[in-house]
Amino acid sequence: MSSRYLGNKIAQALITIFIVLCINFFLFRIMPGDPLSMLMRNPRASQQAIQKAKEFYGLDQSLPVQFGRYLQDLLKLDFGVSFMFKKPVTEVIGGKVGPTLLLLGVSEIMAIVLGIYLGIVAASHRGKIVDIGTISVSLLLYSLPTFLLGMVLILIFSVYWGLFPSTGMVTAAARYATLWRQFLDLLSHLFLPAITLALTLIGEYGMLMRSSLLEVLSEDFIVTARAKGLREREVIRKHGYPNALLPVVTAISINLGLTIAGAIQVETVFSWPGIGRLMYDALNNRDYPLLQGIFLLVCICVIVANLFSDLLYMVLDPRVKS
Amino acid sequence: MSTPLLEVRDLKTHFHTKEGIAKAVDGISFEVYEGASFGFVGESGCGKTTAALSIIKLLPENGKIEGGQVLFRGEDLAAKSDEEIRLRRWKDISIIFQGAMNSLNPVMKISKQITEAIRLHEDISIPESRKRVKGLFTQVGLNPALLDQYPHEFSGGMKQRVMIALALACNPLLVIGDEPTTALDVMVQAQILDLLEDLRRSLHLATILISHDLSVIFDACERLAVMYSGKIVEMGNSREVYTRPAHPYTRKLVAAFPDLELEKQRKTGKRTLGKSIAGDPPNPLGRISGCKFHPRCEWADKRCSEEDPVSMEIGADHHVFCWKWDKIG
Repeated sequence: MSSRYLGNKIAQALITIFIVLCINFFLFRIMPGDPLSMLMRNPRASQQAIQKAKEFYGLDQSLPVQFGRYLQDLLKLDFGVSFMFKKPVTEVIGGKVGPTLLLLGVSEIMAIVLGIYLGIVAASHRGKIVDIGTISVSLLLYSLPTFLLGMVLILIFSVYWGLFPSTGMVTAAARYATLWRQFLDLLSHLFLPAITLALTLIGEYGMLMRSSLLEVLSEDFIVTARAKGLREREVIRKHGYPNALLPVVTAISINLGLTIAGAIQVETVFSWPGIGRLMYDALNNRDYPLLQGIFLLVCICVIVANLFSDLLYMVLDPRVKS
Repeated sequence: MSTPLLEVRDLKTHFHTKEGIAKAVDGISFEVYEGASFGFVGESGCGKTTAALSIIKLLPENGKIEGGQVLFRGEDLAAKSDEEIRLRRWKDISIIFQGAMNSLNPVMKISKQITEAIRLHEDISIPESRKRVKGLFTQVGLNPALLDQYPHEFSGGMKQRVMIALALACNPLLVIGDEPTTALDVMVQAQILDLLEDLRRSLHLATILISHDLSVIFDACERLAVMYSGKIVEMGNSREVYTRPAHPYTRKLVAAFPDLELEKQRKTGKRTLGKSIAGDPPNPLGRISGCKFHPRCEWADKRCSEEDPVSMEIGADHHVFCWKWDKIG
């Protein structure tokens, strides 16, 4: 039963990825404008040179043939050459994945732990000051645009207090006496962008956990648990959490994929050298192969995160298996 | 009749809401004898469930016992602290909830949900508690092989049997069934009621059944109380109350029974539905002086709207709270 469910989910994910590939390919081909004029940049290029470039980029072939080649190249993990960097797209993206993963990993972990904790605190003080305070702060954080929050934090922590650097991942041209110092430098650069991203997520996860837990606590089986003689703490821990976490887990795992794209704002505000920043630059410079590569990566992340949430649900909720 | 196992005296349970105080249970007294069955019947919102849940203080946050005594084997449970009550729950008094609904945790194995209760009150090992659960499963007519299933894998009737097994897990003296057969189809309902009756006799259990269905209570309980708006209006031996209903409300409830001679009706082409009771049940926040039923009662006079009716013994184990019971034809 469950292996069939697993197979179904994986097949669904693969089909989705294929559809994304098609859109990714044809979207750029149906856009107005001739890629060659962009490539050559030289209005007086000879007919021969143009023909050569056409052949080099495979543009002399029909669309289906081009699509076939595109798929073939993808299988070899060849995403083409970036206009901007004159380097293979995989190489360009590869260099930026690390910083983005670091930023997202740190802020997601902070947000998940603190957000769920806040939600639990709010739910168990329903209607009291703690609850109202938590909801208000969460709502405010959740609705605040990331770039605005980022700029406010820069203003306070970097401009007024001078505590943390506001741009980059390392101090430019710095030399470190020890590895520890280098690590501290990285941490101080990471602090503001990670906090900015985490704060908005904390608001979201906190609200989610609160409402989910409150809903579960009003269920009949909670009354059964109390009637059995369990302490209120045990009722919430053994019967409340496992049920309340289900929707939160789904939301978080879907969010994981989306935050990769959402990091554009934070990475741009803080000049963090990650995928988001790269996408912003690629857009500004009309670097189509690079954009295509990033789009594909983000799409695959979202799809994989969805698949992951489905699988996690299967482990957490026995009702899904049958 | 032996000594009462449970003696409730002048119990008052109120809910404090933003709109005011709702007197869900407004001074009721009743006894449940050892190994005997007692039933509460009344419209939804009349306070029957609150009355039963007050016995083990299983009330929502805004519900509070405002007065009265709940004497369980002579001990006043209403005067005990929450912690003391918690240790008595399930061990002395357990509850059968509507298992067909959501009364079992959907993400916990059934075996775990029962052993959890056993191990909370008794110092026994997991294998031993599992052995007891197997025994309980057999007792309620479930296949012990299904022990480690999840609730969603069971039908409504099977879930209700699980609820019964759960209620029996700690060998309680009193089991409260809160609408145990509601939401089950009629055949399953009959099976569950039979099972409860068998278990009650073989285990010498006292039971309190709560239902809005008069036929269920008449059928399954030796004694019963009819509740209306937080008060008991009539109480006594089930057969006595059924054959000689004295309170206007009980009379109308009995008259509201659909006529079961359906074949005859079909042949004559006339269908007589049960007579409904005119008027609406009272607002729980409202204040009605005198008898709570007087605004809907066609026999009510001035005294009914001013003075609370007192208990009147009108037969062997038959009490009615009505000023006019002997003036009604």
